[in-house]
Amino acid sequence: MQINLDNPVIVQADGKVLVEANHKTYEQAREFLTQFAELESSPDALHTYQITRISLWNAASSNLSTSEIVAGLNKISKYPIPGEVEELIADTIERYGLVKLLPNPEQPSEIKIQFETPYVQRLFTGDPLVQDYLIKRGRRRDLRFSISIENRGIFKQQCLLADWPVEDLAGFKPGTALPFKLRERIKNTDVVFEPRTYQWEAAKRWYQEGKSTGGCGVVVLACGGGKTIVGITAMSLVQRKTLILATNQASVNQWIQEIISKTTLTARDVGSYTANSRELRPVTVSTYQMVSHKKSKDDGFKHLDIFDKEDWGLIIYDEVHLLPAPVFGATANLQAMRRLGLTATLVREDGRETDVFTLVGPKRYELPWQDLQKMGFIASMECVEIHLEMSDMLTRKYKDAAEKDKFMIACSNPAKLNAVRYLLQKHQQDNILIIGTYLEQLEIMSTELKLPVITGKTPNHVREQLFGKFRSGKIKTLIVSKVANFSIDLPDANVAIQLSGTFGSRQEEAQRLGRILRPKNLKGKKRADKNRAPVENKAYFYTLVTKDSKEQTFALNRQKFLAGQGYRYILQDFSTLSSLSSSPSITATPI
Amino acid sequence: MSSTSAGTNKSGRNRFPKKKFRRKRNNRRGGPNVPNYRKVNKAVAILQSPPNYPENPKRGKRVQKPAGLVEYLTQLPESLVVALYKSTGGQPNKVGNFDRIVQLTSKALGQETRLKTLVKDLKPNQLNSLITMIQCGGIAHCNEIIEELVISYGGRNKDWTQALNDLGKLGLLARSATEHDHFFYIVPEPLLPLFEHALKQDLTLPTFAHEGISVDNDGTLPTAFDFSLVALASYLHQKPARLTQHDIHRSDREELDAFFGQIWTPGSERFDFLLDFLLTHGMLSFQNAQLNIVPGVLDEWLAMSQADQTALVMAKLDQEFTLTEWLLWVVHQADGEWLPAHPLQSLYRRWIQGDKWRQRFYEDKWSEDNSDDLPSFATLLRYGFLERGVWGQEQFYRLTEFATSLISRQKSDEISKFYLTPNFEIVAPMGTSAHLLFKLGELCEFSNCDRANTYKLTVQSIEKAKESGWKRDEVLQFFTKHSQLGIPENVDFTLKKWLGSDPSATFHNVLMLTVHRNQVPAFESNSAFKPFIVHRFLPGMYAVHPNRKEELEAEMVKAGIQFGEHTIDYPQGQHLEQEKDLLSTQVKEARELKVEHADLARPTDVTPNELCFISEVKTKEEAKQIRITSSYCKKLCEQALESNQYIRLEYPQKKAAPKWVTVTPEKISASGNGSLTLSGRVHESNRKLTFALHRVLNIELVPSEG
Repeated sequence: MQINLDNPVIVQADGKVLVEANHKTYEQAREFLTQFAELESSPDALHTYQITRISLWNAASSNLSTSEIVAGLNKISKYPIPGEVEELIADTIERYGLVKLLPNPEQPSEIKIQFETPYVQRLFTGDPLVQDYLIKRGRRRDLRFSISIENRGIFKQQCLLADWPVEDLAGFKPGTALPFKLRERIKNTDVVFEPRTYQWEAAKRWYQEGKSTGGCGVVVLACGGGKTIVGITAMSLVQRKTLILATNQASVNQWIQEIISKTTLTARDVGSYTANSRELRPVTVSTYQMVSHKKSKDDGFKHLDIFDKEDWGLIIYDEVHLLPAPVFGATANLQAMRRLGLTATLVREDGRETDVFTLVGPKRYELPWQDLQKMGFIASMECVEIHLEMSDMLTRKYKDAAEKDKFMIACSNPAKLNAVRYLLQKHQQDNILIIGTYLEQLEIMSTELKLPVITGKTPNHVREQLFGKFRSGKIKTLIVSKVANFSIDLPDANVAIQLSGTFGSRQEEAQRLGRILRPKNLKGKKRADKNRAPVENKAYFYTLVTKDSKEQTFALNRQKFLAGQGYRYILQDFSTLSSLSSSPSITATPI
Repeated sequence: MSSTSAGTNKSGRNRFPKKKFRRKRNNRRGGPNVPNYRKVNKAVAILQSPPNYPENPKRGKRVQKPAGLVEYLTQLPESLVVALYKSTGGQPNKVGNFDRIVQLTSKALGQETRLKTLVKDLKPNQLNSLITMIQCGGIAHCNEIIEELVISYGGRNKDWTQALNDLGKLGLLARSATEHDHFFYIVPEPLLPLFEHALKQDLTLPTFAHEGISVDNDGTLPTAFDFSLVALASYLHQKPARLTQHDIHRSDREELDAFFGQIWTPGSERFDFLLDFLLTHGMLSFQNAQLNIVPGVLDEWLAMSQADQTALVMAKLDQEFTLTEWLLWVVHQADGEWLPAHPLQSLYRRWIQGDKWRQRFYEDKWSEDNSDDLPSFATLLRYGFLERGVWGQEQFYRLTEFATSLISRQKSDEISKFYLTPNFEIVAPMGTSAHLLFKLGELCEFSNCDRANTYKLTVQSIEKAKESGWKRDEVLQFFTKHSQLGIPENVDFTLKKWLGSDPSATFHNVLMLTVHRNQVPAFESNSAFKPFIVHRFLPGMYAVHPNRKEELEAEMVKAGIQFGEHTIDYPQGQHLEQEKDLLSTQVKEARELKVEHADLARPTDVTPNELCFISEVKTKEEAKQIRITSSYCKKLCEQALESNQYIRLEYPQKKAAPKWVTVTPEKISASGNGSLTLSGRVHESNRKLTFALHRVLNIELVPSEG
């Protein structure tokens, strides 16, 4: 047995890879591991990666071979790698590409299937999961198989179910040309614009110089890492009409604003296809909600035809981990178009990572938040969980309540109001987002603290107005509901106070955290308001939790997740905190 | 196959084992010694680092001769010493007397070059016979050794008999007395270490290295013994296995096998061995149809020195496979390379044979014994101490990590830190101290056993730890001390919350001593009692050291404090103490066994005068007769001088038959030619005379009249 305790990595039999983060060769080990394993947690001393079939197929799609992975792992491992893991790697990697999809010039309405060996062909064609889609031509030794071009997506999904990950080299239809350039300076400002190195790298790895092996796939970047710029850079490489799907209206507006300010495209070239305006332009930005909208249960998806309305050359899926089922369905039929998925995490709560892999494409690029933070592109973060007591009356109410209501009662603890007051006073100079799930609680906060609130009910123009004021510094504190979980770019927000969350949702926690991760004092950045004091590149994420309640149990899961991601996580008792400070006087800006 | 290269010498054990009859004698000598690996090392691997020879011996450089060599040689039959002297290049004809021959022989044996020349000049059959004799421990039955030689090297019986006789004629081998045509070949004891060194290359076992060797293992992770043992104990501590009438409940066993899938295969005998080991040593008990860990005893085991732990394991293994430790030690000498099966099995067979021959020699069972109950290496393979490699038709052995950890690892090599992450997970890589692993098992949920064991810190696990006696400060101190980066802030906060404050009532498991209030001042003012008091609860109520009760009683007797005859037992404590006592007794026995094995390094203890020259045939009675030598006479004379006794001796007359005279000894001196003389007054003639001791025919002590 070869044991080398000086190496930084331990590979466990369940595919987990533990890496000593303080090891001198950590960087090299990380570089290597991210190619075929998913980062699961990254606390201070020990980072955990997970080798999965999907992560290995992602690696295989980047031409990484079994021997390279196994040899590389052996080189950095303390102990010999388990037989099970070697088998998993070999079996998974070697299956990728045994079945290939290639263009069929003789039958343009079909896609040719190429098998690595006749044995593979025999096994594959005998699998009932794929048989229905196969078109057989020729006889005996001259047997040829193909599929109908419409079945390209669903066929790939079925193949993956049958453990035959297909390498799709059938290529893409070009789409209508859209010539444009990236601006050198942001429109109407003197601020220099140039995509960051990693953003270029991500876009290039996705595009692969226009080869059939590229042009589809996912880029994983932490919140605040500038995924929108990666999207725009990818557009500049493709130079075709583009459809962008985002999570909500605010996000749509941001995309449009970013494209217009950072490319030579004008407002006439870029439009939104949402409930408010249905403009189909060379670059159209829509929402998932819009394309999966149904009038009633029995009706079809009214706007799903948006994909066919134009000769798109590229589709960008923002926050691809949120892609809803109907869009997956539609995406299955869009395999001839270039596709780019953008996300901060490939983990889906519904476990449909395989669909992302087959229908959008393999992971092409990933950069963990720690690296971005080191480069100064995102703020350093401190998470603080503040524990609050329940009053006697609330305790009685809590005990008497039905199990299903207990979480809500604990989340809505009125004592949180005082805690918010305390924090507002502590962060008088900061830009604060107060985030909650329960609307009633948000309304109470808004009334008591005389602060503006944005919920699902708030009209879009009012939201935009408030977001605008927040960005410009006219409003320093904003109360928001779940609507602000995703894709809201509020770069100067540096404090978030979380009143309540959706049970233990890790994704929600990560997204909320992402709201304040944007860098706070980048060098060379021209501030909108020169009179405002410079902000340190640090953000605070407070979570208010009611002690000895169900909320605390769920909070522990969220705590484990965030701490596991490597964020500094501190717990404090509000009773201790409040006794240390003088009586707070509120200086919140009125609505 | 390559022979052993420089620096990778492997060796065979070379002294012959003495088994059970030795045990009593050890006890009489004053109990077991402290287990000492060097002793075993020296005995088994004497060729690895010969203690007596310099690395680059120069010509004529003197060797440190075994102590008492001259005395020993003096007592050997003259013909044997003369033959030995001749073999080392001496010319006995030119030497005046026997004492001088002894001195010159002893000197010759101290010269390495002369020894090497002697060995070099041996014929192949003689050499192989001598090697076999050494590997058998220096003693062999006259007929059975021939069989062994034929099995090992082929050839005809008469050739081997001739070779052994030739060795005898060279003085390298003696024979015991003869009974019904049976006798034993014996290598004179002090010659053994000298031959061992001279035959270093020939005794060395070959090693083998080839990429094509296919390893015959089950593909499980090679773990250290204590890692496996503590992992199993931690698991059972958290999840006691249910028992049916005959075995562990099937589903529990399946769960166990699945959990430990990385370190043994389902149904593995390694698991059975570990379980048996825990049970035998009281670390595991049957309670309520469950297997429950007894943490106190396990703690005791973990606190033991590496040597004691190894002794216990080897003693357990010895029940099924005799001389395990010796065998493992020899394989260990290969430094991880493969040892071919054939020479290793031969060596082991010779140890066992030698052991039997030695016993039979002492038990006067000199007739042939053809019983063949040689244990198979399969036991060690199944338990995971050895692993087998196959290349073509050849088989090879080497140690597994399971065994290596017992043989060579020191506690100082162990990892003393683990990772405690902010998401409440603990990762303890393989090689972490067994003590830490068990403590982690007490404090956390054991969630995965692999190259790195993983644990989860939960509110339930902390509750359980509190119930089993962990205190708030102890837990915090433990994590602070052993976590690589201390306790993460969030974990610290939550942990303190889970731990709460220390309880207001605590149970103690102690040996309590209560003293009558009238005696309290006398008891407390007496400093002799202080070392025994572990804790003073109140005046008159003390926790005393449970293992030093007898000493305390003795002190109390001295101080005139009366105490009750019986200790009042409380059921809860009794069981644990019994188990601990059991463990302590077992350690004692294991140490004894170790000493016993080390004792095997000492040869037969046959008094030299019992040995016969190869061509002499004596009965036992004849052989036991004391041979009168000048050194024997000198010894007796010295004794007479010290105790004011007379000497009665038979001395040759010039013109008459030898005559018995009684002498009052006055002085022992050396004459001009180096021979010893006794001066004294002869009672019969009342004259003062001088006697040359080498001419004395018989001698005895006579008590003085006074």
